Amino acid sequence: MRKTGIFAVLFFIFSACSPTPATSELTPVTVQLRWTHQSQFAGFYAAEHNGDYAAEGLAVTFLEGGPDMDIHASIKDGRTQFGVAGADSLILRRAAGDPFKAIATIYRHNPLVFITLESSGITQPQDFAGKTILIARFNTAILHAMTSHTGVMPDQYTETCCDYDRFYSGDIDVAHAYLTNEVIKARNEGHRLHIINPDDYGVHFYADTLYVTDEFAIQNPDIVSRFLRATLRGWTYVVANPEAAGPLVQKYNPDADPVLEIAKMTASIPLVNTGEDFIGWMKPGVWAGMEATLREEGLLTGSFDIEQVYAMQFIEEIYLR
Amino acid sequence: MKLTPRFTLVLVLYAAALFIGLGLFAYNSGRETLRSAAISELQATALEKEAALNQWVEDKQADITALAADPEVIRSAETLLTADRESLEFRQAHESFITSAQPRLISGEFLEVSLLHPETGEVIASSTPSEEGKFKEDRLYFLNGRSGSFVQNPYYSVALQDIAMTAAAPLKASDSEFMAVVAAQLNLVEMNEIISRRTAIHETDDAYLVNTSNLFATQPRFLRDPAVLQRGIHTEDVKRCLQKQSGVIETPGYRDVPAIVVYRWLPDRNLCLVVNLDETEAYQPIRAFGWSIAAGSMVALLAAVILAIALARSLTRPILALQEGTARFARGDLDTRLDETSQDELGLLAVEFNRMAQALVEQQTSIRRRAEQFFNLGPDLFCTLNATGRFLDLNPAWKQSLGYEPEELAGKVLTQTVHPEDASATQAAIKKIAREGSGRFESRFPQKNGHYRWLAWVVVTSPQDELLYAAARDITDRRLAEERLRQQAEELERSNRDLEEIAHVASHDLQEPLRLVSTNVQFLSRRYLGRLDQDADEFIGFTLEGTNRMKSLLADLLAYTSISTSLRDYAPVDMEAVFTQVLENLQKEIQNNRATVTHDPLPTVLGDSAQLLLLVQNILDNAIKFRGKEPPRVHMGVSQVTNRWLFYVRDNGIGIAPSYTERVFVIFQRLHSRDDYPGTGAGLAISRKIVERHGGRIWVDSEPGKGATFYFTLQPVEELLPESVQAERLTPETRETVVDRARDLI
Repeated sequence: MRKTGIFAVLFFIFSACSPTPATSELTPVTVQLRWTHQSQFAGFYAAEHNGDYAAEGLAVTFLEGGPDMDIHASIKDGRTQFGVAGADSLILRRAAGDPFKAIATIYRHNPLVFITLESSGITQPQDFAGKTILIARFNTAILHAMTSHTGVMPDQYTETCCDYDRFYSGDIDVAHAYLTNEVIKARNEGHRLHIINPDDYGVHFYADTLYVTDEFAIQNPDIVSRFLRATLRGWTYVVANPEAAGPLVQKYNPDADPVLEIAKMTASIPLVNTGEDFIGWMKPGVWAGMEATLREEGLLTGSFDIEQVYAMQFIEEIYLR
Repeated sequence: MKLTPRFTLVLVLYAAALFIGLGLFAYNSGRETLRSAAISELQATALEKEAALNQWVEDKQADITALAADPEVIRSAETLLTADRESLEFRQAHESFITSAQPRLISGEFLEVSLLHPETGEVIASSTPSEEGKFKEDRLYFLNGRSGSFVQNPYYSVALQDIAMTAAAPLKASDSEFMAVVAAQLNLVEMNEIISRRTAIHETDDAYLVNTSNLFATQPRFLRDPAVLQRGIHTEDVKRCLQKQSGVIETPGYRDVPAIVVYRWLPDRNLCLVVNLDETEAYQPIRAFGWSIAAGSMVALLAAVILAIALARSLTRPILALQEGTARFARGDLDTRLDETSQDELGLLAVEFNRMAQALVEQQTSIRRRAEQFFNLGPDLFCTLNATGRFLDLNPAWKQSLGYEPEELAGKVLTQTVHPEDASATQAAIKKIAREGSGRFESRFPQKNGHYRWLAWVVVTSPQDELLYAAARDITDRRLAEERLRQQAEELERSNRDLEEIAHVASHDLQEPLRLVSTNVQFLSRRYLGRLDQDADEFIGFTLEGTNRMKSLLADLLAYTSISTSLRDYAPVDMEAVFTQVLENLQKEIQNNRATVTHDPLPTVLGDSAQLLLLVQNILDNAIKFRGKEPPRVHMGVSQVTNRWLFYVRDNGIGIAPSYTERVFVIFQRLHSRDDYPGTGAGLAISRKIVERHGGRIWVDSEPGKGATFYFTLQPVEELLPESVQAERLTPETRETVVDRARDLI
């Protein structure tokens, strides 16, 4: 009886001393995506599908975003660990007090552009004065910044939303569009377009950015690094193999059109792999430029330290170590 | 395996190993040489391309600097920067700026030339109108171009959807003040040409640049699809190169074809230069060389095979001749001699063989001569018979013994020559000998004069010769003697039998008249005793006594003879029960003599229970009867000697003098007067008869006054183990003497 007792104690001590029990046990993490399942997140799917997450000891769950949904809420209260959101929204939420920290930017060129019909003769923002522009409310900042940069003030044009038929019929002169979506569809439908890219007019906004909370980054730097490393491996894979995007998206969204998803992924390649530095890399200058633009647009006021919004340590650890 | 093929095989294998080894060595060193050559060539190509690329970039830098220094351009720029965009002056300056750049656009050196605002990076004028109004404030060429001439490394232009390179230089006013940036998008066709320029030597050579984002900066030869180009390249060589390394690797390139790849990191350009050549092509000459080696080796091997066979034949031919000669010799051709002409070891072997053969022949001749001497000298009859039993050789003894000349019997069949009564027995004996290899038999054989003689034959077979060797000896005299002996024995047996029969009949038949005599004498005694005179009484008494003795004698004689005539129907007899019965029978004698009779546990033996009872009773009775002054102490014991039970009966009686120990067993022999010890003197004779009838022996060991010990042996029921523990029951000193004695006697 006494012996059994001693063994029980020993066993308890040993099991307490042994390191993290089994390496086969994966750490569960959840990712809140920005929008519904599509090739915009193909790199994440690839990392999961290719076992990159498992290799890093992670079991990853993806949560869809969608209209009328606050994708930040679950990150903020810790229900999900990772989020994908627009860089500008991260700045604004941080300024509003949410402790969000960007760790890598996937879409380093913003897919948001403005399109005009070739026949309209409108080729640059300078031409927007007196025109009607189809624009969603959450994209007005970029539009205003771009036109302001070229000397055309927002009160010089009319904004409307969101009937593309009126744009194609010539009723509306300019429309916002995504290179990875509407532009492909329009071209597929045979429309001849002129594309006005805010990037050419002083507006350099990062798009999809991976972020966590300050608390999670401090408490689980290892999980963040592992997750990021696997994710970037997934993105490198889909950039090299865009045709994989079709089946990958279908896995999460069976209704998706694989041909369209591949085309969207193909269009995304230069936005993800810009030809400068590395996939996922961030430049402090771009973050500063975004802050400046948001201030100019009056969306951001008061004192605010832009360097709190992003952390280079994880991406530097991966690429520069 | 025979010598020739083995020899050939070894030589061929050796040659094959040699050719393969040499071939592989030559092939590998050739391959290594080719590899080194290919690598050197690729490295030279890489160096040449790097130099050419740097030169081209320098040229472009010089060009843009020259353009920025063009007075017409400076003049136009001054106006473009200051004048109202809508003014005529502006349009003229614009015109003038484009015109100044025109030669370089027409030559295709620049794809687009633009003038950028020094602060905002706005495109003020451009040879591509759609570019005007855009802002390049974050572009590297703008940022760097403000301070000096700069060529931005290949980058992916979202607008162009392609790789682009842009050169820029600061435009300075006549007073050397920085005024604007002149930028030109370079025509990458030239760079592509530099990188993809090929020497006419190879088919699969390829060269391309990759930027730090793994994107192709120039088009590889085998990739044309822009969509595929856009995906970039992630091969091992590029991975290493982008880690700012230079080196050589043999790896499947982007085409998944094994290639020798030289990668070179270009630090000035921040680009990776890859030059490669398919291994198939690089090693093409060695393959042809390999085939030549293989073909040559095959031819050489074929020659080696022929040579090996010839060599093996030349070596084995004399050996085969040797073997053939030896075989011939072995078959009995003793005159065979080998060719001794060869001077080599085989020649020596032949000489030795011939010497051995000669010695063997001589030895054989000598042996034969000796055998013949014995054959001819022997007094016994020697002959050889062939497999069918016909005589072959016969020695001269046949003539001396039986009168035959050898040739008279030669060819005759043995079994047909012997006495007709012995023919079948001889036939059977010969068959048995043929089966067993040797044997003996006896048969009658006729002399030449027709009288038969008994011959004892010893025959051995010689399967090698297919012969029977036979020796016969005339045993007629012995046979006659044996016959006589047999007849005597039979006669003796018959007379013994007759005697016993007579004794039996006599004792039996004599009883009747004796009884008559006895009865009448008793009548006489009863009626006339005391009535006649004293002498008559005495005579009657003597007569009575005599008839009584006669009765006893006859009874014992009958008992004695009946032992021989009784059937030998033996069964297991428990000697313990026999002993008990005897004690009961002798109860009166024991009591009268106050005798003590003891015994060992007694075994069961094989015999006739009634006779054995008689045996034990006689001996015990004697032991009690021939007592001394002391009351008799008799012990019956048993021990095991070889495969018999040895019983003994020891007493403390008067004993027997050693000279009488045999006499006591003779019937009616007495050592003492009837008055001292009553009885007829038949008891021990009957006992001996019983023991001998049972296949045993009986004897006595005694000294007068020291008691006597009677021993007798009986058959066990089953074979006894030799010397069992029961022997231990004898006292040590007597045991040995008894056992020794017993051994002597049995």
